[in-house]
Amino acid sequence: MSNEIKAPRGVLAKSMGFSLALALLFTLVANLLPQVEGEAPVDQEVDLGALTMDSYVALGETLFSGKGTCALCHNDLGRAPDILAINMVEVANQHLQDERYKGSATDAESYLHESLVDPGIYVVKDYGKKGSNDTISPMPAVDKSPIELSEIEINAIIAFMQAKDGYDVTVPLPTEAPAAEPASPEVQESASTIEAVVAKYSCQACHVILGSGGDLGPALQQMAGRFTREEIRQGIIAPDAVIAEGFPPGVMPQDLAEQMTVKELDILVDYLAGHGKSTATPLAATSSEGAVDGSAEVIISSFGCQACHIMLGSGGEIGPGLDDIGSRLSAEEIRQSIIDPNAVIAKGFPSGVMPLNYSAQMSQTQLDALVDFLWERK
Amino acid sequence: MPWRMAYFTGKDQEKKMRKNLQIWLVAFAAVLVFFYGLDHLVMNMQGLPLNLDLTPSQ
Amino acid sequence: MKETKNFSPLVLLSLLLIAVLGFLWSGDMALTHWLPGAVASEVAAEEVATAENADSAQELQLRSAPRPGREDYPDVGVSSRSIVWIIAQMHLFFGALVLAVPLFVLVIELLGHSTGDARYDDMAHEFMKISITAYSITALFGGTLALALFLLYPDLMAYLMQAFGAQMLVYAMLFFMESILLYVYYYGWDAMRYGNAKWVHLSLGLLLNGVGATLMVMANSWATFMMAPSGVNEVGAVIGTIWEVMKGPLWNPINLHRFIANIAFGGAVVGAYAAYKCLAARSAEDRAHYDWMGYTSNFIAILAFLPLPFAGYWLMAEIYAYSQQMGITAMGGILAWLFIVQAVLIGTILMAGNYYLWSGMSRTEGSKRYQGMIKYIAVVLVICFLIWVTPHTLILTSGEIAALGGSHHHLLGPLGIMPAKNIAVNLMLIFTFLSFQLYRRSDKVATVSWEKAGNAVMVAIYVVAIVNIIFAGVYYGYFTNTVYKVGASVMQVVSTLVVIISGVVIDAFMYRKAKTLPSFWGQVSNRSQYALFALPIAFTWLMALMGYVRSSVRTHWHVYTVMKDNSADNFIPTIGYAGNMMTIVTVMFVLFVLFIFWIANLSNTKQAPPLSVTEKAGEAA
Repeated sequence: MSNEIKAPRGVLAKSMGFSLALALLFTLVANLLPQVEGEAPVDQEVDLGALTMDSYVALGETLFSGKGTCALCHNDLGRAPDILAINMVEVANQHLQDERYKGSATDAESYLHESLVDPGIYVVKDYGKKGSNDTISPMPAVDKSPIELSEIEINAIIAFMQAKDGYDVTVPLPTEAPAAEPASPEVQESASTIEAVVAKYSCQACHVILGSGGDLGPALQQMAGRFTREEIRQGIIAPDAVIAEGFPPGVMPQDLAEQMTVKELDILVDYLAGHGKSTATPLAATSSEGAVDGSAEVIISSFGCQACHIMLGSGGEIGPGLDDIGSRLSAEEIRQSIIDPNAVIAKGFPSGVMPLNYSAQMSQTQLDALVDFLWERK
Repeated sequence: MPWRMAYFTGKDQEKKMRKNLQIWLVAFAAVLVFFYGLDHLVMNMQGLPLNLDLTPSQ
Repeated sequence: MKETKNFSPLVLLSLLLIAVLGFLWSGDMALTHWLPGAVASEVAAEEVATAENADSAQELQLRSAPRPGREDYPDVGVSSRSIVWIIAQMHLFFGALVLAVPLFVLVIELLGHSTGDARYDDMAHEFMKISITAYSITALFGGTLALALFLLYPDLMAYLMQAFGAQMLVYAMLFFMESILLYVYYYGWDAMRYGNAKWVHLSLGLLLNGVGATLMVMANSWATFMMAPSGVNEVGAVIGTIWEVMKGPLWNPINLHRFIANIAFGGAVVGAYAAYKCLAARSAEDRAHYDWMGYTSNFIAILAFLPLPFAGYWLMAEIYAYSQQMGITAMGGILAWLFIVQAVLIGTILMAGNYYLWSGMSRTEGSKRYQGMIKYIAVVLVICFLIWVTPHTLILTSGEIAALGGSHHHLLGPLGIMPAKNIAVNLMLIFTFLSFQLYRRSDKVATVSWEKAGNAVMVAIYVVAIVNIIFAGVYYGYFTNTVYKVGASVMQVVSTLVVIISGVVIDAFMYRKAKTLPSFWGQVSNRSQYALFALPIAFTWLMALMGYVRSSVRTHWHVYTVMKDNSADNFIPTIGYAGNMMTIVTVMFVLFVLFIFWIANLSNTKQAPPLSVTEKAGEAA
């Protein structure tokens, strides 16, 4: 009988009540603290036309504690130099004189720029990664992930760093991109065959015509019988008037009416409407074993790169200019940009426009030649 | 055994206390030296050497 | 027939286990050749052009991480993130339980076998019953989680499949092994009770734990890949082997941290089970049994808990080394307040654990000599807790700043930074260990001749360690530069470890053949059992909190620097919102655990047959 103890009552209720009360206490603590939401950075439109140097400096200041995430480390807690408290221009000039300095900057502005995009070149004493004896910087490159500041933003921050201590801002104020120069208006002979017309205006960059081409726009092989001459003509000179189903508007060049001669337009419309005859074999923009002249210029014209890119001094502005691409990208990156265009999109340009199938269309030799050529454009 | 019982006579009470003190002093000294060495070891292993007075030498 | 202990099955199976684990974990083995996981392993991008087989080289296109836009995320009308949050957290809770329980069950079973005490074996068996039901619930939540992830984040999952490939299949297949081993281990308990069969049973338990641990580290690799991707290039194209993808800089720190934390968590949960049964016991014998079970669980929980801060520190150190920005976001930036909440939780855990130990001293008369120390330990714990909880950066209005004389309080401000907190934490751990050591000594009287010297050394170690910790924190923390400040925290940690290890070792030797004083299981206040409820609640909430940190530290990235999060939930939620979510999952967890306990009880219950049945049985007899 001494084994029996008083029957316990309400154990479940009491223990659960206690547990719930404790959990609610923790919730209370969490809710009493300052509530801060971590917003993801949102791309903002900046009206470059209306930008003044003062507002540019202010933009830099906003970026400093915003998208640039500089204030996370560059504060008075000792992790990184306290930029807001330091005279950055003076310090930049001092560091340039340091015997440890091995970078390529020549003045404060270029030093600051270098520190932002390549922090490891010179690590301020005592701020290096632990154990690296100030040779490795813990700072990420701001133009790469995860910060990904654009050149304009980087310059804004530099402007802020210069202006805050009263120095002149030496970075250029960003303006609207200069109006694209029209493709050189050399007097050219009007093309006289359909092949020449197609090559001159790079139709195959986007359309399948004369046996091959891209699929950015509708294939043009079977126009005869489906469209009237007027409709075909309209499709060339006012492309956005009627868009083929499934294709995006605003991509086809709007100025073919100004560029093409009357004769060239007639040849093209005739051909498409089924009245013309092609006289030569299709342009050799086919894959693999096409024994074509491997020179880069021929490749560029057969694949119609200049429809969208400035190359060899002329071309379109739908994509980035490529005449100095070798100084911006490595050979591997150039190759990737051709065969997987959407992998890395240059800032300010739309994705999903460049044809995705160059890897299927170009032979390995052609691709190599093109990459080599582009990489030498510095 | 006779020699053990000697611990509990009045005269040896003093001896016992002194022996206790000795034990404690030795223990503390040994442990201090151990921790001093440990401090140097731990900081050195991280590439942060110390001077003899435990101030940073870098 | 003389029963010989045959170690060979255990030895053989252990070797097999070690070989398998080493094979899987080492990462440099030829496993890559038959794990067709990440593609493009040996062929780097530069080699595409020079590859002999031009066709296959062309096929080997590097695919970057996808870039979904806001509209590419499925919208089910409720925040996708909150759905995945709840399911994932439940899966992790139960996964932790299911991995932890077999671990200490194995140890207890081994203990029972070597001491010959059947109580241990029975308790181990009872714990396993809980694990079986929990296992199904873990699998249910795992399946639901997979569904939710593929449904709500198809692009992310497509990318993870691209990066991990067949490793996910291996993970799924390992579950078959886990199930087989679990069922044989549990249902074969009584069939393999003695002699050689017992060794086979123990070996099965070891294998079960090995498979379980492997499952955990595989799943950990997905989480750590998202935080610190490895084996991929800047745009996320996979350029490494599956090992390079798995073995990121954060993988092993998370593995260690979760392995230890699971044990602490599991101990806390079964401790609640024991506490409940203890409070509800109807006989003194039952009460004693469950009191003992509760003590054992608490012992496991606190013992595993003590090294946790160090494993967590290693994790944070690796995060800082990988990306200082990520590290500072966690501890100095937007998530900094979180660590104050963490301080509250760990303070709760330590105080509950200590309170339980002090209450437990009433089980034996021999504790009276130590009871005087309790109040001093309590004072130190409370002061350290208050220091730990003191924040550094306060969000103040300008009026408040003027009144304060600056953005930080001149006295309390310095207490808000790491050196002060490190002192506080290390001292709390040391004093908790002291409570533990005193409790363990309560029912013993040493008989060794060197007792005085041993105690002198022990006291010296405590005193010098405490002084060392305070010195390292104050001097290097406030009077030297950052690098030494951070390095000194290792010094503090090592000091704490010295106290713990030397305490365990000295006591083990000093109390050999000790005279034991009578102690009575069950002779303990009811209040003390509530400490055993506080422990799992705090642990569960803490686990959820740390999950919130781990996810948030990625900011607006699914896979940090490689795949941006463009969903509607790509912001870090406020800590109040997070706290509400944590309470929801804690309550859910408690309800499910109640269900598990109820099922365990139900399987023991036999309904008394009605009179008609007994009468018939009587007639037939």
